[in-house]
Amino acid sequence: MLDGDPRLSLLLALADDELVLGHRHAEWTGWAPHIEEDLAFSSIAQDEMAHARLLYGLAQPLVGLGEDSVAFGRRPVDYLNAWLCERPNGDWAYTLARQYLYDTADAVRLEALASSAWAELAELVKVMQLEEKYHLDHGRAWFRRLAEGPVTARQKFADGLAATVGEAVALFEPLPGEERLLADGVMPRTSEDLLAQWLEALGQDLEAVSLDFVLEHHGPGTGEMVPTSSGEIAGGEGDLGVPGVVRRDGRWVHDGGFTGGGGRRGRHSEDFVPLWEEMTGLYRAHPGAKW
Amino acid sequence: MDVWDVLGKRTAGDEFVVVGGLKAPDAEMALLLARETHFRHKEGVAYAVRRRGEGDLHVGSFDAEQLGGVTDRSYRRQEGYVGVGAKLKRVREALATRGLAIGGHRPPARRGGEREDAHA
Repeated sequence: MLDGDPRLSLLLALADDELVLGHRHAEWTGWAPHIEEDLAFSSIAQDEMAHARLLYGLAQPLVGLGEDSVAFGRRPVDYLNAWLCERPNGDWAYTLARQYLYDTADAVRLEALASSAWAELAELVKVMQLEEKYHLDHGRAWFRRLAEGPVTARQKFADGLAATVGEAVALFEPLPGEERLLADGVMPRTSEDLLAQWLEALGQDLEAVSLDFVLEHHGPGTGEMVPTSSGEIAGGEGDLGVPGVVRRDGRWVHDGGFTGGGGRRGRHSEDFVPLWEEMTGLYRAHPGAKW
Repeated sequence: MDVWDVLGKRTAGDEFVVVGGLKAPDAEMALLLARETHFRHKEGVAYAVRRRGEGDLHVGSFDAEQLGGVTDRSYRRQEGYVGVGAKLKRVREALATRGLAIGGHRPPARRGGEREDAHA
């Protein structure tokens, strides 16, 4: 599916992140800790899915499939979302840690893509940014509240951050065909450059609340993301290794580069297929149905 | 946890009026939750919260352009379902020509406890 126009890799990586994380967020509907937050998180979930839909719409002419088919008619190895998005929700602290990390990272890449030479993408990204502000506000508000909150809440949040930060780094795994995307100006900056920007800001946020120790768990040599069971979907490349994170000259930076292939190469964790089966079940039962 | 009144302006020329309420520990969270629970479908152009029983109004920072989102949310409003009944009728008729019918129970149209003959 990804042979040919590298813009498809970019669109699917962005859209699949939004769709899959939106699916996970939606699993909180009816179960969030209180009703106001239940509505808030459900709205965020719907935003993410709406953004995925916009991106799939842009991908349609590149892939030659209808919107629903792009979203739900692909094989698991054709999804390019990062592992972070497909992981089960865990507890509320894990979910909020992931939402904060994802949406701060998403803001960095959207800011870059807003100046893409591909005008249609740049315009679409500007629309998405208007709603992503909701998500950033939500993530940052909970970040402050939990980081400065009661001991138990702070500890659970720190655990959630420590569990997710390595896979959040992998949001910036280089895309197939990235060199051409950069040469054409579709991507104004490299994934690694965006990672550096995000990590520096993340480090400042965490230092401000004395939670930067969670980054120390991801020092050099600790970033390999080895699949944890035989359920992993092989995408045809070696295991993904992500850069480590170190504090150097007063700021947090990545150390080393990405190796192997992860979500951006269609290589997923053992958690993806059960999610995919549920998410695409209706479509697969009634392919081509009109609603 | 405190109860907060949620206030909104439907148009820029309106005064703030109470549109609902919610529970939140402080003004920051009350504003965030007010925005998420009352102003996600273009219900207004400005929003605010006020701790119930107090006079201080805390006005939200999102402007009219941002408030309510920008992507298609018609499926979350009543008008998004205009035509569903007619579509169902067409599908029923098409199935009937093939000797088929949509199975399954429909929920009762009456409220619980109402007598069936009350609608006769």
